[in-house]
Amino acid sequence: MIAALLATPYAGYILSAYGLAALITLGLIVRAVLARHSQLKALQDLQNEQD
Amino acid sequence: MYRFANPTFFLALAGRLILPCALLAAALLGWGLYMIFVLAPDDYQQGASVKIMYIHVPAAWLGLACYGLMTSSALGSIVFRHPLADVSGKALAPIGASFTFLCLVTGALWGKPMWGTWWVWDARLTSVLVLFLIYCGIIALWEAFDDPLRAARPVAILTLFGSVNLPIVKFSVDWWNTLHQPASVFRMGGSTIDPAMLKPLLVMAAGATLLMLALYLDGMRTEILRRRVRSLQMKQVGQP
Repeated sequence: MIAALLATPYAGYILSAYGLAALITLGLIVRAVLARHSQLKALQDLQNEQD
Repeated sequence: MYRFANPTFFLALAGRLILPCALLAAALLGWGLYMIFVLAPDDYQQGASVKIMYIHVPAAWLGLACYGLMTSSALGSIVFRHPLADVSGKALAPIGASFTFLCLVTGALWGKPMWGTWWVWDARLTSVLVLFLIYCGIIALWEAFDDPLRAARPVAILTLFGSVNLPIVKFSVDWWNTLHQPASVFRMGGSTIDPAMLKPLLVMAAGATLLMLALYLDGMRTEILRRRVRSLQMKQVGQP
């Protein structure tokens, strides 16, 4: 399947498109996880300071 | 309806919805990729390059859909002054910008082998580029204010102005002569795409929509948390 795809003259374009889609998806997920983690940590630090 | 606009109720609801949305999105995208690379035929004219369509088209739809949702949020922000509407708009902007960027780049990657050029200044391509620039402007405006409550109104006004571009993007292929093809899925008289290609396209679109929904709900939840942290920090330093 992959070999047949790589044999086509459009392989570079197709792989670039799917690679970019994967990168953007991964980037959005990582950004969401990091943002949530940093806010939860900030909230916890504030609550610890208040205690 | 008002119950959904309550931040506490919304947080509880979003917390329950995000994981099922993300899992269903992963399953649909996986199934879609299997259909694209194993089952779907190549186009008789475009060959295997048609496989780029399965990313390009859902990305374009979601770029427009996110802006449509942002317009509703901007109306909610201006008319009802509801903080959850601001949060919704702020969470959507980077997601919509990412999908629009993906649409532009995959369009160029599809255009080069089929049209012989990466880019032409035709009405559809230019209006989508304008949509991306509006997204960038909105994100920049959100970041330009320290206080998100002060940013909400100018951002909502900019978003409403920018919404004029949505019908231009949609109907540009009908109003002007463009190198970009006219609509072939959502059109009067039904889709012109063969079912063997339409099915994987719709599966990918459904998967990408659920991914967008999961990211959107998570973005809203994080933004509510960020505002709560900010208000606690302000209380600590004695500012109102």
